[in-house]
Amino acid sequence: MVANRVSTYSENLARRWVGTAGFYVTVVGALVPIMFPYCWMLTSSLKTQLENNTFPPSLIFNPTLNNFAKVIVETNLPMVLLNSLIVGVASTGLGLALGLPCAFAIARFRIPALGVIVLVARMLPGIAMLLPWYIMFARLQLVGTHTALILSHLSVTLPLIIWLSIGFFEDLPAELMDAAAVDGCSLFGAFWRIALPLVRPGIAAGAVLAFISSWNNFLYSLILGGSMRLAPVAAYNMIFEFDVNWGAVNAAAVLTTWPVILLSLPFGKNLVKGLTLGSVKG
Amino acid sequence: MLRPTSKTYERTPPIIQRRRRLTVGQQAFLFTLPAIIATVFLIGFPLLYTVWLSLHRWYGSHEVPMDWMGLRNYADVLLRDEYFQRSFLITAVFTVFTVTAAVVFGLGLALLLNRKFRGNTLVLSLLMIPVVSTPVSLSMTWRYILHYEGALNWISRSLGLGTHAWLGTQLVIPSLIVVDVTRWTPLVMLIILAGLSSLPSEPYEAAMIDGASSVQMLRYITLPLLRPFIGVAALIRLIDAIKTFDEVLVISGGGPAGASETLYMYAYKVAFSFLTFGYVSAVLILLFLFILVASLAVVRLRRASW
Repeated sequence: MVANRVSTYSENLARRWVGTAGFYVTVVGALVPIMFPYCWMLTSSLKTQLENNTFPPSLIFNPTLNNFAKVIVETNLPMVLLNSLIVGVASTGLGLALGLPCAFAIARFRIPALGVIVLVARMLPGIAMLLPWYIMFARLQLVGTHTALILSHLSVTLPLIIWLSIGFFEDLPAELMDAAAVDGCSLFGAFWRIALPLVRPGIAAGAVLAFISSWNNFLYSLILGGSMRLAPVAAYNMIFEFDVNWGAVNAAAVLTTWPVILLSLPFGKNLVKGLTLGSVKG
Repeated sequence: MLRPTSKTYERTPPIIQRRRRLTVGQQAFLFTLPAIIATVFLIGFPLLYTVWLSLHRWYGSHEVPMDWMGLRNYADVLLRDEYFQRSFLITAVFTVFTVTAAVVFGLGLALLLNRKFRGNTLVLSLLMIPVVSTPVSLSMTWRYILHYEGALNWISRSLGLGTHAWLGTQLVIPSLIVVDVTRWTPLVMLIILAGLSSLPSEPYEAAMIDGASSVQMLRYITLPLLRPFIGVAALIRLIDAIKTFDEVLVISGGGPAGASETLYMYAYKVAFSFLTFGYVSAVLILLFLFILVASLAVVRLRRASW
């Protein structure tokens, strides 16, 4: 750390400036390949079919909303998005109701065995449960209903919520819980009146992640949805419906994925914490 | 120990008939019960049923009874099914490359971004987008980018690299790896960045006093301390990489001629096109076992010294 010669102020300034510029160039260079598909999705959805089928692609164009109008009018997409919303909210709500008390108990009494089960649940290929589900739901004539979709999505949201909230509950000081117990607070009281309010931001982030994982789920919705299509399934069908009409295909992509992207933005830091906390505390 | 002291009971007026309180252990059990019941019904029973099916021959008809097959389905899948063997190899190649690349790039990006700089929040928000975006929707755009007259060929031609059939037999797996790496590097980065911000500062101060170079600090302090975080990121990535499905189905459909048929893709095809439930179940259980074994290997690797 010892400089060999005394450097002048302006030299230092120049070196720092070059360093900063180099840093930003590297950051942008790393971001370009990661963000390019999202930019391309947006711009293509605003182009006409002609512009989308020219090679090399036209970079300057008159934005048009025709693709969105076409997709919305021709494919019943508002209904699809509503169904996705219903299934996502219901499976997240159920996941919270069942998962939060469980996560609280695991964190409070250190039941690592249950944590391991949750991890194994994550490893399970969903398709291994899908076959029995399909047989069962078909027999109950539930294929194509909200019930089948909500229950199958619950198998995704429940382990996720438990996994994430264990971390948040563990962060609470144990003394707080002991104090509550000494004051005659029941375990449920400690959970409901003390722990829950304190971890609310974390829970909100966990709920958003669970909702997103339900919204993004494709395979369960494809097999168990029957005629009821959820967002990813509807988007998948549009690849064939609109074939080489890439503007419409990309508009469908925008309409199905940007709801969750926009939903995630306000949760910023907490969402990152939920993601990483849940994944690191293994 | 957490029960109210006996004095509390003494002070309660005897007229009020208090229900005897459950012990804390019983309460904790009640807390976990709903989740356990749901897990057993949603995951446990279906999984056991799949195992049960995998030991039989059954065509999904109730008129024809199941035939007990023992482990013969498994033997057939592992030893005689060349499509399964091909899918296994494809998945192995895909997984090794995509996990390694995501961890290397994610680590690099995390080390790069682990400082205060203007635009920090913006960059981190942008990097959240791939983590939450819908795989199917994103893959639709990738399908457009990768097709013969798509953006990638335009870029590669502008760079003087010529045009290529990115979704042809030769390049489809590398293309899918690129798609996967660009999507998941940010998640790995976020996990490792969280790790970096939790590292203690004392070792660095000590190293600074000892005159260690920044490369030495990276090699001997940062990387060893980050090992658990890198391990977890690799584990998560590994599990999801083996299960890659949506992207493959949308971008290549497993084609051309099965060149990108991953295990999950193969399982999907047999599961919902041929009605040989026993055989299909054996494929599914084997898929699960592979994920389990690979995960255990990564966990073991994480504990081993570097």
